[in-house]
Amino acid sequence: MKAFEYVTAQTPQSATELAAKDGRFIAGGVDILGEIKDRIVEPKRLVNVKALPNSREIKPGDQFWTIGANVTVAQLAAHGGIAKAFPGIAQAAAEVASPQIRNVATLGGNLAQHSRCWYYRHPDVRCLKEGGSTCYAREGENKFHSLFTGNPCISPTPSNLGVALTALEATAHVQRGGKAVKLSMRELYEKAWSNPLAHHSLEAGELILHVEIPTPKTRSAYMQMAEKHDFDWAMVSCSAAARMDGNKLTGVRVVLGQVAPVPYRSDEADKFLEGKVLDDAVASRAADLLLTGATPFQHNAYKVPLAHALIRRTLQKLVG
Amino acid sequence: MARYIGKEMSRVDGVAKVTGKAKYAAEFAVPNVAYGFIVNGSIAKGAITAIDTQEAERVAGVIRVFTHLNTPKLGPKPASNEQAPPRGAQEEEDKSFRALQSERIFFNAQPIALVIAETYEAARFAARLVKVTYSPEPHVTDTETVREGARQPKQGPPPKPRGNPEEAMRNAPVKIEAEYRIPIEHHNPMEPHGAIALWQDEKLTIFDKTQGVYSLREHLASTFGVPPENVSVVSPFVGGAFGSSLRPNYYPALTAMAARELKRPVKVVYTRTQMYTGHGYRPYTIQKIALGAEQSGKLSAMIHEAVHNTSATEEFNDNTTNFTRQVYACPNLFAPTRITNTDLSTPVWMRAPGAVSGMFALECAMDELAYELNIDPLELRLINYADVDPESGKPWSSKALRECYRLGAEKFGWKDRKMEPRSMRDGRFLVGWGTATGVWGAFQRPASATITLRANGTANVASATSDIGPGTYTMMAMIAAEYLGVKLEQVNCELGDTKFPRAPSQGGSQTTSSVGSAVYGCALAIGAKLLELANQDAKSPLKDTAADDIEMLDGRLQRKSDTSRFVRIADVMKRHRLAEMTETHESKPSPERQKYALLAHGAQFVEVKVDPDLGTVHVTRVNELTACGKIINPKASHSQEIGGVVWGIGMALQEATEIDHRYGRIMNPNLQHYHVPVNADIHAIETSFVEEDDKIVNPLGVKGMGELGMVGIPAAIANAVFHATGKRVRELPITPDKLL
Repeated sequence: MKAFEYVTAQTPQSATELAAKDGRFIAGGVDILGEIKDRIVEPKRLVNVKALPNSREIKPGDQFWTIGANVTVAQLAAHGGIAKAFPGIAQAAAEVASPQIRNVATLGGNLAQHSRCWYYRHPDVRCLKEGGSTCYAREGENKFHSLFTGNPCISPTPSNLGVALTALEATAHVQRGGKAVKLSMRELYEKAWSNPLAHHSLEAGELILHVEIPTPKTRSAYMQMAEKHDFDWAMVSCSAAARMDGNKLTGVRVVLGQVAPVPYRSDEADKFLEGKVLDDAVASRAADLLLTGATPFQHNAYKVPLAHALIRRTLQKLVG
Repeated sequence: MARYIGKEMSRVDGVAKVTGKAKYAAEFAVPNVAYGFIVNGSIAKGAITAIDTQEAERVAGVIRVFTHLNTPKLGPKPASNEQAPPRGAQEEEDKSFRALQSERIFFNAQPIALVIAETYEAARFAARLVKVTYSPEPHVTDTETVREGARQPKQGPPPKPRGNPEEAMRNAPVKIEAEYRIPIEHHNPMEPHGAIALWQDEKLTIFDKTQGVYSLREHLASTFGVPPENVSVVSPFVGGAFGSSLRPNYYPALTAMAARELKRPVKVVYTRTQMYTGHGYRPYTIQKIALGAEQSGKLSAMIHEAVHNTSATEEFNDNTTNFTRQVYACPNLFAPTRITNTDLSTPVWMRAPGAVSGMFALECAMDELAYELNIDPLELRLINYADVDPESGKPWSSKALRECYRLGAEKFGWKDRKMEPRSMRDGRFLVGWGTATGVWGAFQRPASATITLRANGTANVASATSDIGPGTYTMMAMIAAEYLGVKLEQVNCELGDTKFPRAPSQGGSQTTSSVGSAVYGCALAIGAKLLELANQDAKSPLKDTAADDIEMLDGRLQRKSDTSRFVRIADVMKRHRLAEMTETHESKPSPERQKYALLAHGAQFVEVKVDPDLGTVHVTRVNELTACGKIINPKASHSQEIGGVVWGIGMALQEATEIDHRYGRIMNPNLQHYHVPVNADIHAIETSFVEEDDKIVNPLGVKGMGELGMVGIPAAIANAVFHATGKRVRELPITPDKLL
């Protein structure tokens, strides 16, 4: 085994300093250990962030809830308060992998995980996302790939929680260069839209500390569809969040997962839904708008009707 | 009367397995073992032009890096005692791929080096430092593109037509024709393949995960040119294999080679990813079927042509169309299986090989014909019921398929099925009901076992069979306990070792018929010997008792027809100063079998619920009816059938090995992207046995059942999906993208 250093960070500041050069963070290890085994990365130092203070707390609040980056996916799925306040998060967490993985996987790790594209992960392939010259999926086996992208790489972001938290307009608090900064979910991922090398907007040594979720949206929902009915990556996922003004939707955000390098939403779809009473026609129109411009490849055209159905179902679940 | 046979028995090895006491091949503690890690190539075809191992060799702890440049030439070669090794379960020349023999590359991820180090970690790390340059050549891995060049394989029956199928097809008033496809699929047993090899002088001991210790012995003897008796194979437990350890894989010879060169024990274990190119797979299969029938539904012509891939180095043929000849009464038939070369590793047997592939196509085609005729699919099968073997004209030794159909239909509620597709609903779900027939052989091979019965009533049973999971230890113990008349817990069973009497590899669902018969024969031999010893005493109460009128029970040897006439076994042994007595018996298929056709049958009834918006299929109900002779252990047998159904669900809906043909590279060699069912995919499964009293097949009256359970399932599901949606998906797996 290639020797590496393993250190436990006690403060966010030291964590980012330790990881900044040739290091990687480790919490649950689900993603980083796989990348090391698949020979994608060879960090000289693994920085354990599990000991960071207050990083495992779920703090309810009137204006927003704060969830520490080291809260496990299993805790999110099982937390009664979250299930009540943000059902979309609980539902998205429950769909992550298997119970064993949920028990160690963390919120921060789920949000910052890297592409699951099988070209990116293949030890014998150096693809565009790894600094190579070609996206092999474009002309290859792209059944599980994107419908939308702003760059030549077509691998989608795999995070379930990123989709749910985008719908809820959460903010990520990130340790960056000696200070904590707040990033919207859009900001957290936008670099991956345009830069094939990026999985999110975080640079080496930048660490998600916690996530803040505003409370005004009293409703949220998440659904996904996979080839297996459990323990599988979604083919498409969808999350929606809104307030209800009587029976009218307001502040709606509808977000798709596994169709783009970022959690994918559109202003047009959300604006269209503003003030609407949901019925089949409204849901269908919103799905049309969100899927406008979808560009399927050889093997993933099915994602368009699948996403359309999931958007409609998720909106029904949201108001239902 | 039977105390064990036919009773639900828990596995005798169950506690050892769940407590970790059962030792699997790679778990044996061998002092001074060195660890090997395989380096895999990254092109599909061509040659290695340079291989640089210097950096790998510099890693601390690395002992040696074997490549084609420093690996001795391996067999096949004749044994040094000039005796050709006896043929094992595979009656074909052992042309299996042996690693590191030349610079040639035949498939992507072919082993190109083996790094041996003091630790597994050092070996694995150094493996990635081996630098290779290639001279690539154009390759073909897509069977579709070489379909036209398919040829008749050397092994297997010639494709002789029955009657005049082409003319009959032309004249048939009703006909259907369709093509069906099955992707490459991999076995994915839980236990990764691995071996530990050690040499003492010219004698090799190897701990390996194998389905046939004798078969592996012969492979290794021929590989190293040593007499077979110099090779000891130890394989007491196997964590699932399903055919993936039936033919010789490349790693045991590679491991033994390294151990021989280094004069030190070596252990090599595949990673999950290496399993995808290290042990074969179910081949990519294209099947074209044409069925011709009278308006009454009576079949008048069947043409079933299969093509599947093999490798460039070895001919493999799974006999896809074999059972088509025997399922339905039809006077005109043509059913060839052809093979075509691809630059992939060699395919291999995978649970219900050939049968599940062929019956997927045939049983879907029968459903299509039923709709063409507007005849209930089950009724169509009854109309064409084969009362005698259509291929040979011989009577069946037994065949309770009709009862399977009847009972299955009753349990499932088939009479309430509406013929029209998309006519049944449950809320937003489309409901579909499908049926299919299953078939498998009732094979038996020569097998030997030995029993030692001790004066204290305990017994030891041994045979060189394997137990890859079906419950062979338990079956052996039950049969021995039954016929020795002792308690199950008084019997100890041993298997999976070449020090025991020869038995066939565990494959083809023939272990109980073969090895069970041998154990039974041993028990009878002990009874006969005891009778002889007892009757050396002039006052023996068993004088004039026929050998077939005696039985052993609770320490007595007694007359069956008059149990008051008995001797105590312990007394007889004591009188003859025997602490124990041992009998070895070889059972052979009886000549009587030749006069009959012998098959096991089944019928499956499946309900699916399809979400039409999402394209998802839930298999909500399965009734599986099986007629496979006598059931020795219902508990393990139901487990086999349920497992078969689950695998059938996976094959129908999820399993596919995805290959990027531009590079001949498998893209999903892992359980994250290669899908097998999880609990959430499985709903109600009811398995039932219709027992057959078959005196012909073998003394125990048992037939193959481990593979049978899955044979009809993919077709039944595909038929149910058609019934639910009106959409015929002829290419497995039926994933949501094919229904949207």
